[in-house]
Amino acid sequence: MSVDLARTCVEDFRKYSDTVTTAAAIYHLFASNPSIGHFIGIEHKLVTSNPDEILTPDITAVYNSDSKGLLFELKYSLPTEVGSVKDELLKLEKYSRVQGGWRVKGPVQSVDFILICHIDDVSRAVEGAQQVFAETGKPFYNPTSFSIWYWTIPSARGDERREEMRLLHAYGATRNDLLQQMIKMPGGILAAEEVLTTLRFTYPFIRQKPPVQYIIVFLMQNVFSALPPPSRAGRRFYNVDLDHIYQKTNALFPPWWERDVQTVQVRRGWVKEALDTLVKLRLIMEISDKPDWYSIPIPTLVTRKPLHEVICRKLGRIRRLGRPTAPKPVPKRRPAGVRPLTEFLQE
Amino acid sequence: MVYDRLYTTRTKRPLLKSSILLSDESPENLPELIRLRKRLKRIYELKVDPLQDDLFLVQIQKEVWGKSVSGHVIIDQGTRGSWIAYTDESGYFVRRVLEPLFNGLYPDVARVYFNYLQIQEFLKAIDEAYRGSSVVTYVAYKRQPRGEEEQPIGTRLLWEAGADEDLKKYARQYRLWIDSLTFQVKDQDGMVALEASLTGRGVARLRFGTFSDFYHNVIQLYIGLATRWKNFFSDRERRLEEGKVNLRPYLLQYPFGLEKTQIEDLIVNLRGSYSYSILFGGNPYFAANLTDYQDGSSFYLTILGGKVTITPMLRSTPYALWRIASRVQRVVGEGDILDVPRVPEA
Repeated sequence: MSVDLARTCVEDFRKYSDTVTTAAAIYHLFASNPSIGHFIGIEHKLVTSNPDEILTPDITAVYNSDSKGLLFELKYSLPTEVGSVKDELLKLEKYSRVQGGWRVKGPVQSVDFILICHIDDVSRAVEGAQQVFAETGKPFYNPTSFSIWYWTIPSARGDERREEMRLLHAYGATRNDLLQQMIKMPGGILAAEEVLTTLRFTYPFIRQKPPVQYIIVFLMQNVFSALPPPSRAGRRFYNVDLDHIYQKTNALFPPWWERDVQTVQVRRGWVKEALDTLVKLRLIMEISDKPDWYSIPIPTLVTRKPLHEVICRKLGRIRRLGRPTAPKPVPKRRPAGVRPLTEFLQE
Repeated sequence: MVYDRLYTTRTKRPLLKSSILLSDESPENLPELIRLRKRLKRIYELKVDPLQDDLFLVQIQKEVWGKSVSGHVIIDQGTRGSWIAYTDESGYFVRRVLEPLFNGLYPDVARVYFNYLQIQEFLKAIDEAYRGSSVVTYVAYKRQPRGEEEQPIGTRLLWEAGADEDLKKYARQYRLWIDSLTFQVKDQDGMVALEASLTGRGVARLRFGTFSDFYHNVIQLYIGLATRWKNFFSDRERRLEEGKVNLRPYLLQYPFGLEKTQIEDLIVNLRGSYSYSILFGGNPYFAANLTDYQDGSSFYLTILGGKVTITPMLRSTPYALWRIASRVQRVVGEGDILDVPRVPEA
């Protein structure tokens, strides 16, 4: 069981990382093809008629002389039950309420929506979207303006072709004709080489909460290692507080997140969860009497194995141990009045 | 100036070796730097005496296979940010005592690594310094046909005028590793004016010629080359400037696509010195996050076709970036180190 947990944990780690790459691919698609549309931003704030409601889709763009909007949402993982996938899809309907905040001169008359998910989840996503549209009849889910894409990084075979990342169409359409033509082509949209080599590292996070193992590995490799002054030999312990680690990590989130108090709390929560999990894994220690202070050894973990696999194995172990054990079976007692077999033998 | 002429007669004596190192520390701190490292502390004994003009005399003793090996080194700290360690001790002392000491002092003291393309820059400068004279190069290298999985056995030699041209040709057919490059400068009468050699690990050796010639035309050029490449690897950390993320990756370019077996070899080679997590596992596109255990620098490494790209993160020292470039080349062969052009902003 713990092996399965560890395997799923590693898969989720990779899926999240691929989803980050997909976000970079979309960004680069607009940057290098201005005829498709104009890129507005990642997690750009859009407003609705309700002044308290602010919507931040993963990627926002406009096209057709800035008169039409295009929203992208990326999901690194979707539930395994179609019913739960439908619940996730129903949450997306909020984007039909977008009324402004596009930062363009004229009004944006219509909005198309594209959900991008992992190939493992795509059939459930399509099934869910079809059912939601059939059951609710809501125009937001109309397949003329609501579509689902997925990404793939196929293996290269010998010298046949080189390795690449492709975005492929699975369901529905967008009214952006050029983009629709590109995604409907047999090979879909090919991500540029620089997306795979450098751009994917611009922002290591998307808006969806990463799995805890992703943040743990990220903190250990990129944040903890940058805590001590350079040029120090040997393993040392550093006492740091959550805010200090958050500030360091914050440089890796998109800069506009900082301006939003609520978002800061959310991201801080991710970091706190990762630190507390590291304490449970006994890789770092809490400092008694000092809340949110940690004693971190650097290097935190020295291993010759891939770090994400080691962390996932450790997580699998504590999750397995933390699960309530099955109650002991009730000892079978002979119902009253029933004689044991041995008594018959004696007769 | 007696020492200047020590190598102008053909006698049997160990060559004068000089190692180029990068460090902001003072050689006087060497005992302290060793004290911080358990492994070095156990086997090395050191005594440092300051001489004059940024020179330090270092007496080193080490236990090698239960036998004590000792020798002297003079460290010149005259050029800011670098050390030149001179010794005329045996090659055994350099290989067994001196080089392991400097390797163990990383990241406080960092070695330099040059591949053949980088050394060619140096040869051009030598050609210019000795215009009118003929420069003959002698290259010791290892090569491996592409697609072959076994590590290359034996060293090949090229010993003729224009050996570097042949190497350029071989670089397209083979994976190459340069061991050392020796060059002989002959004046117009055909008399040898200077005979010296260089290794890719920043060791220059004087075989024949005056020390002043060697210092001005080899050491100084070598330091210049090291400084230029240190600058190339400097200031590459991920930065946030005016709300935009500024990445400054560099790449190793190969004339051929890298194979899956090489990627696997690379991981085996790196796993002792780097913490690593694999984001995409070599189909053969490969992406990983690496952290230098000793120095704390972290970076992403991707392999796609014939390109190995290194994208530094929050902390990335020039020493660590130079070191990873060298480690990659040691496994997959020598490549061309280039800046990655900036990608368009949306």
